Amino acid sequence: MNAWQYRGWLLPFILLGVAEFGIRTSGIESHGIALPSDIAKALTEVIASGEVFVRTWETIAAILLGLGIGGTIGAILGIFLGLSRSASRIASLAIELFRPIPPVAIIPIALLIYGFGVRMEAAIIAFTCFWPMLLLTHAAVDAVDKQLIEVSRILQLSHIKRVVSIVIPAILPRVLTALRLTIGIAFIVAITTEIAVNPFGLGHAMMLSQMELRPPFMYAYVVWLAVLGWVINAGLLLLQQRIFGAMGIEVHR
Amino acid sequence: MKNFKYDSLLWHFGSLLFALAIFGLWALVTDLGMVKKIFLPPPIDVFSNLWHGLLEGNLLALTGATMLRMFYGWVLASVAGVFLGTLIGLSASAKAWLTPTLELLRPLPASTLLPIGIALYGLEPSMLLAVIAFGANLAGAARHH
Repeated sequence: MNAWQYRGWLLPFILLGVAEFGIRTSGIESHGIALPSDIAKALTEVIASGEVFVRTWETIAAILLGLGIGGTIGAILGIFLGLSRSASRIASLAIELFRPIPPVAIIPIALLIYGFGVRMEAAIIAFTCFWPMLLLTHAAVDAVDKQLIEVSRILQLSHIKRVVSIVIPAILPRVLTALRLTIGIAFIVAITTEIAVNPFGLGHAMMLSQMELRPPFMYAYVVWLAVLGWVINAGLLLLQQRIFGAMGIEVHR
Repeated sequence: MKNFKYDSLLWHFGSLLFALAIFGLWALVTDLGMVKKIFLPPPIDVFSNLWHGLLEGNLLALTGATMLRMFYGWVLASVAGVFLGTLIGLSASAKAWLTPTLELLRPLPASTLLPIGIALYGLEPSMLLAVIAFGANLAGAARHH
């Protein structure tokens, strides 16, 4: 363990330094670029005023709402389809027909129904989250040890009891992985919706800075989004390892 | 073996029936007026419009233009991705230098490039066209009903 192994973290700062030097010496004036030092100033400004946290919360709230609705329905249906071979065969064509619809393609529909605001964004995110949760939960149930299902049959558990006490504990690790992947997708769709139409959240704040011809603020939001995306992903990975670590040990005993 | 094949055919048929039933439910809901037509038009209207767009409209040309842009983007991304991937795979020092930067850029939604692109290049004709098409679509939908 030495500091040199973290040398890669220098690269972003080196690149920013080169940009700073390049823009300063060439004297370029543009609405599309900004001095890294101005971007840093803009970022401290939106952090100090609390603006960035308000916008972040708007985006996160839409993601949580959409994920809660779409992800839960998807997971429940996924368990059902995983347990019933007939149901999954019957539904297969319908799923393959509707699943490839790009989430951004339903932006106009959601806009027509809900207008601007958190509800239309949450609806689009719910549609987005529904499919991966459905398919990954379905796959997780498929991967459950058949002997476990047999045990529940021998114990003559009711359907609900079988799902709650046998299936759900068995699929939990895989569902957590599914959740992590789904949140990543939801984040992308949320920002895209905000940039495209919805006057709401971080994406819109960024778009607004562009329209106000304030590139330092636009890039400040880009930096914030990169950090936020990285933190969300790293946080979920850590959480998963924490929970998983304990569960893994229990399973192997 | 023959029996198995027949069985699987039956399941495919059932799955087709289920998909059709969803469209049937959609038609029923709109016919009974449970949802306003402007929010959810009946499936027949939608499919006749689709057919019309494909035969007489420019839906095919637009699809072609979208696919072409998709292809260009994909080629560009693949070339850059294979190049960087090879570099990282071959050299441990390239890996150490590049990984953190790439990890920071990876979770960034691609759409964040949209405002930057507009600021740098202005609205391209194709981008303008999309904005106009979106507005025209809304106006068209409003007029249609």
